[in-house]
Amino acid sequence: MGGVEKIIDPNPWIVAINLIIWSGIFLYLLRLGSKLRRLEKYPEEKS
Amino acid sequence: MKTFSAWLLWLWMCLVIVGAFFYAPIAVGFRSPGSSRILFFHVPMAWTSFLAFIAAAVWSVKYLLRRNPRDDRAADVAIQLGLLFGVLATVTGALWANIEWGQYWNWDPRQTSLLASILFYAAYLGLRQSVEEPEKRARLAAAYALLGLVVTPFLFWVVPRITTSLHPDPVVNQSGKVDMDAPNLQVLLASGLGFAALFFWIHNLQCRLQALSERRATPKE
Repeated sequence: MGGVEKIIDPNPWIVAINLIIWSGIFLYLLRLGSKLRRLEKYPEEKS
Repeated sequence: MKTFSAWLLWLWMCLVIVGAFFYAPIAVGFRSPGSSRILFFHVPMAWTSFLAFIAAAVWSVKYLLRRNPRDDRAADVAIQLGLLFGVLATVTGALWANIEWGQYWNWDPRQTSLLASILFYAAYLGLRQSVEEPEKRARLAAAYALLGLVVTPFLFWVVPRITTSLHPDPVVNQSGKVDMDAPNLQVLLASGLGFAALFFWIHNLQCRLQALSERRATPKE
């Protein structure tokens, strides 16, 4: 990787799919965090 | 992780993904040049796995010194996540190896040493399952994870550099330096940082989740 070539046209669909997958993981973790906060605050609540 | 930091991480990783495809130039000397982009995800996953195993050893030392069950839980979760990232690094590496070297598995020193680390830490989980008494389990597991302080750096950094590797020279070389052009290096390091932050975030969530389930499993007096 010492030398480089001009950027080969990346397929925008691949980039979009990567962004969608990452956003999905992110939203899942964010939701899990808020659910945990609620359960820590009200331990009796059903999960 | 605070919501603001979480959104910052989301943005950071989005920029890494866009940077990997539109900013970093394609590497030369590859059979399929576009496939070199996997580097921006595969290498940080392996780094994160290393980070997780070392963090687990640190938490294990803390446990042995203070005997706080939270440190034992933190070490356990770090190893679970280290295994997850290690398996992801192995799978992404195998996909790339098939494109570049013609086979998914080549017994390359780096592939083999990562596999050995995975097996070493899978045995840690086995050890935990085999001991019933919580205090004894935590003590034994901490001693085992401490061994990782010797095993992990040897397998991750020494073995691939004292043997001939199929891996690209800029990332794995005898001098131990990452030797690549600035844009590629910037995206690689940014991705490494992003993955490390992601590790600590998931680690925090999983520790809290485990603490909650342990609390629920304990009968009330």
